[in-house]
Amino acid sequence: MARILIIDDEVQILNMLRQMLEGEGYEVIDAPDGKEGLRLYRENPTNLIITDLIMPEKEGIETIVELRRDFPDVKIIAISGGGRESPDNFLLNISGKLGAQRTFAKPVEREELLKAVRELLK
Amino acid sequence: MSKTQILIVEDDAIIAMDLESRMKKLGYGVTGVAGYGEQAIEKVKENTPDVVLMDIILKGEIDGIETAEIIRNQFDIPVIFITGYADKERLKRAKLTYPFGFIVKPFQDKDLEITIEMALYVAKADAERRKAEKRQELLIKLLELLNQSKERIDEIRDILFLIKETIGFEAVAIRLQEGEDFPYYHANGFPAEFVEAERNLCARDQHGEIIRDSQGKPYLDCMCGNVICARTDSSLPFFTAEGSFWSNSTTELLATTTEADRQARMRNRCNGEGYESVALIPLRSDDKIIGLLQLNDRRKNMFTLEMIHFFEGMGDSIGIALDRQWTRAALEERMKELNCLYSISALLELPGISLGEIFERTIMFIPPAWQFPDITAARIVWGGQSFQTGNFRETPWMQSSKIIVYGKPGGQVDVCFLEEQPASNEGPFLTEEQHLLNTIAERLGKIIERISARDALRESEEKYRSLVESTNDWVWACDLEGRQTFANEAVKTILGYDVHEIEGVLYENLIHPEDQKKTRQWFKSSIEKKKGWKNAVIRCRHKDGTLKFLESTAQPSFDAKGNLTGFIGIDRDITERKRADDNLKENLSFLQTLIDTIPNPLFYKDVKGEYLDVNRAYEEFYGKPRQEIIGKTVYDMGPKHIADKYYEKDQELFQRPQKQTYERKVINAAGETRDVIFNKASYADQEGKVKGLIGIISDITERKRAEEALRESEEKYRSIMEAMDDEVYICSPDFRIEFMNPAIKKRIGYDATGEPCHKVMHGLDEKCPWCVHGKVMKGETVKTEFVSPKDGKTFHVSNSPIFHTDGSISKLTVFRDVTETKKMIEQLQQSQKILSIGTLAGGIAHDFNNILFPIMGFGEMALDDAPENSPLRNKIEEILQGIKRARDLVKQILAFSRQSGQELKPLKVQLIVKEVLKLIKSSIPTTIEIKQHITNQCGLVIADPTQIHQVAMNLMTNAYHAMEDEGGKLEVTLQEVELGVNDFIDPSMNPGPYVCLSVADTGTGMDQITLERIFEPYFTTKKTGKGTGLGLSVVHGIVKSYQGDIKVYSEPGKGAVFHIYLPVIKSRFETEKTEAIEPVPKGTEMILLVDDEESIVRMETEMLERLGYDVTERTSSIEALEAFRDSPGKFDLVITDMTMPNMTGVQLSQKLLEIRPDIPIIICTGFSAKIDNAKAKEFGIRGFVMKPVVMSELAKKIREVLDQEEG
Repeated sequence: MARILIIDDEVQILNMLRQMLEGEGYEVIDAPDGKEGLRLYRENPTNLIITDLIMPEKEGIETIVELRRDFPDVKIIAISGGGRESPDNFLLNISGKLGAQRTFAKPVEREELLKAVRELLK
Repeated sequence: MSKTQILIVEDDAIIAMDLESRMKKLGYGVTGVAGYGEQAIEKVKENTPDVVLMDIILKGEIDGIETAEIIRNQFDIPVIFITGYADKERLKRAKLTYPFGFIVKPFQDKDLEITIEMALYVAKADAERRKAEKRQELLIKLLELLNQSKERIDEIRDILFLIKETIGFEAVAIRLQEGEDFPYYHANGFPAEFVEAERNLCARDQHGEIIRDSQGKPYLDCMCGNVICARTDSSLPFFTAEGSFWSNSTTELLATTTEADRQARMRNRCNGEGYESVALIPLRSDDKIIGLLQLNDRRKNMFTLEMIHFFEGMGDSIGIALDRQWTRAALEERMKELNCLYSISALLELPGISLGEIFERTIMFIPPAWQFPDITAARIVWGGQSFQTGNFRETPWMQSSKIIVYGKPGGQVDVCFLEEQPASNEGPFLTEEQHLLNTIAERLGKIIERISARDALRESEEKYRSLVESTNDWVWACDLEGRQTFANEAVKTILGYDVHEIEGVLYENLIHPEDQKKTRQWFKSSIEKKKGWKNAVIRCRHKDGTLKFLESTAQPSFDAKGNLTGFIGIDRDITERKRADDNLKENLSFLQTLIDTIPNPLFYKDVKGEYLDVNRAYEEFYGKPRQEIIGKTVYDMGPKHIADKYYEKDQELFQRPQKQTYERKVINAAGETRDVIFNKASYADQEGKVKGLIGIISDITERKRAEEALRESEEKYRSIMEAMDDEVYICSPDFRIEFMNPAIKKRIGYDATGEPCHKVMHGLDEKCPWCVHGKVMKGETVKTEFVSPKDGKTFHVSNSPIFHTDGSISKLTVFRDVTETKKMIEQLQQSQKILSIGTLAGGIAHDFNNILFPIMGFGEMALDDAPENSPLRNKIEEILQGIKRARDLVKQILAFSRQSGQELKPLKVQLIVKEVLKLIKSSIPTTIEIKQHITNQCGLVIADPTQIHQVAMNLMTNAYHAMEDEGGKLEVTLQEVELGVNDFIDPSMNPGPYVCLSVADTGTGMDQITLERIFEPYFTTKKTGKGTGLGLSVVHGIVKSYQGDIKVYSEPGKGAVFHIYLPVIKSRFETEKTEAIEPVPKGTEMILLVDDEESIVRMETEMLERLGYDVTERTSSIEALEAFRDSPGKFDLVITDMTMPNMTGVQLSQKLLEIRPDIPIIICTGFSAKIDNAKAKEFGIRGFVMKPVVMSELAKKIREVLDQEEG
């Protein structure tokens, strides 16, 4: 069964995504920021990474750039809450261009997310 | 020694031959042999023999005796008779011839020789004796002559005659000194031409001037000159030690001597005339040569040295005698002259003799002093009077001399001879006589001077005596010690003493003790210097003890020998004068102080223009001490062309005495050019004659500068006042307007200066209730905000005091129209609020989404987990619905706050609006009617299509919400309009084409308070849950970010209309430019224009006037109605705003139509929701114009309405 690494600084979101993905039968590991996520992935690479963009320690964009550089075949879904100084669309667009196969704005509807996961793990 | 020459006279030839041979044998020379008497005489003449041997008996006419006599007498040659026999008669006759010997024939040679030798000896001795006798005789005669007191000419004549006759010379002459020359005084035996040619000795140059030697003495020519000038050299044979010259053969002399030997230039006339023997003997008196005796003879050998010595002795006698005689004659003449002069002088001694008497007597003294008293007459001419001797008459022989008195000729003395007198070389009168006459004239001149001086002295003595007697001054005399020797009566008056009391009193004892030392000092120094004192002031004690001031002047007095004897003085009582002087001095000092205290330069001059004095200020102003100015004129002070101007001014003043004022530029001591005013006035003496002028100079440079500065400042403030839009007026303490600037005049409508402020500004009869005048008068500045009841505009009013120099205060009031500014500030505040919310929203959106995301995720999972018919499902669905709304809200917030990321591109707004209309049509109920007027030719706008979509969506949704309950009509209009400056609220907008999106509803509408807040974020009128309150603020932000504008018209219950203006980058007007531009129709009708907004009235008035119409404007419907009621026929058209306080456009129209049913009316309106065309027609309204009013549309509409009426 496929393994998915989820990265988000919000514990509630990590819990929600773990339940949602484990309910579908995926093995899920999580990290609270990009740095930890990268470490975990290097230890034991997963089939997919779902990452937030705005995080402490290491931003999502950085994380995506490093992953894409070190593991060219890595599959990434970027999800952002938007706001802050720049609108989310901007970051999401960038992350798309940098190597995220799918991008979503929070909050994402369950079906949309699962559909993207299924497609990427096919 | 040469042979003795013998002439033999013997008629017997044989005997003659015998004699000749015997003579020769004896060693004698024979000059010749004559046979008869006449021949003998011829032979003697021919060849002078030493001895003649003469036969007594001779053949021929004359015998030997007779011949001998002739020879002896004529030639003085000794004759020895030879005779063979001698009768007694013949012997007797022979004896008479003084023969030197007789030889009787026959005779021995020895006898002959003895006889000849004896004869020679006797003849020689005899000749010597005779010569000596002659000389003796000559000398005696000469002395006799010289001792006779004869006239000189006669004497000399006689001397020469005597010499000539006695010695037997051919020619004799005497030269005597006359002036510098020594001409012939007399000559005897010389040809007249010779005398004439040789008269003068002075050498003359080619110009006739006398040639002089280095000592200036005249050079005397020829040998005569040598002798007279003692140029003789005794080593030469023809000069003697006594300085005479002699020659027995001038021909030989000339041939054997050099020019140097002869000492001087020779005229050689003596030799030329044939004189061989010449002697020149000096005539001496003492060592002086006074003349020369000349002896000439054509015969040679006429002189011996002995003879020359004789003549030298004689020359001395003649010289001494002549000299002595001259001296005596001169003495006699002098005596005569002296006698004459003495007599004249003696006349003066006669007491009281008058000038006339002196003249009368003087003429009597003159003739005896002249050479010929009997025929001499004299005359004195003086002062037009003539005094003369009885025999006086003018004759050709007259001499005159001028009488000079005090250096000027005043008359003359004439002397004349009544008969002609033999002219000597001096003319008829002697030089001495002319001298005497001159002396007499001179003496007379002196006498006249003396007599007139004497008379004058007498007169003046008389005068002084009476003066001394009559004067009020104390006249005194004293000795050297100061003891009074004389005093006049005045001393009684001055010092109180009688004359006799004063006598002998010491001068210093009359003096005040304090001045005594001073007076002693005067006496001492006066005696030393032999000088007096003058105008010395001393104090004296009057007998009664009072103090007197005297001004003392004294002169030393001398006796006849010139010894100082004492002093004469005049002392004047100046007590009164002194007192007056002191007063005067005090006054003068006061005046001088006064003049010097005057701060203006001051000067005064006399009529000649000379400065009399200047004051201290003048000295300081020009930097010159008064000493350098006094006595000078303007010509001494500056260049001529400037001085000329001042001089002219001075003259002008002197000619027309009055005051004179003029302005000038002058240069002061510091070299600065100053503007000054001269104030001058002439002053006159007591008789009114102009004596001079006084001038005062005022430096007005600073004043002029200040005036200039003030003028500039006034000009500056005036132009500021005129240029400023702020309304300004100045109000006096008694509420009168003192000044209004053009802005306030325009507002008030006229210049209300002088009127009360409350009346003018607010139409109040008393001061305004809010008046701050009192505070301002206390010096406070009061600032207030004031909303005009007239037009609702807001003003900042500044009231500040103006402090006048006189202490009064005026109030300066400045109205600043801040209506626009306030509006802008409000807008700015709103914008800033929106911006801050945007920033905030951006920040919270992320976190908010992070919250929503798990809720949604878990919610969906919960719904999925819930059983089919569980009541939970419905509840979870509601939660999810809420989450979606929250998500949408966050999206909206983000959209609002989004700055970057917008996709700006040229776009056609009409396309987006049509899309939005499609969308909205599907979502609004049918109770709402949708009308759309989309102009497809609208120009391109630079914008983000999503945002334009959002704007249109937002406005239409709002409109729908406003009509949701009641239903109504949604009208969407899109068109391109041209906006001018007056159409904008936002100054950042540029005039030009705009796309205008209008969204109008007929819904609930809004009141003024709501309208002011609708663009604030989170402000909403909608029910909770229906609106976010962000819609319009998002719209506002978008529109503003495109340099566009948004305007709203709304009234409660009447709906609202929103106009969005977006600037066009490529105008449809531009694109259509190639098409014919429709000319704007114009007209001249009278239009009544009504709108409550003044700026709109202003804008529309300008539009209409530009179109040619005559406009009457009103800002309220009531005023408009009044204006119309006053003259309904005056107006051709009424244009009115729809929304106005008190009376709407429709209500106004109805009133107007009541007055005049045919009046055409156009209504301007921001939204047309409530009035449609049909309804309007019903009301009688002819047309509508949509706000904002575009000129071309308005113009078209007006013509449409007016022309329709005509049609």
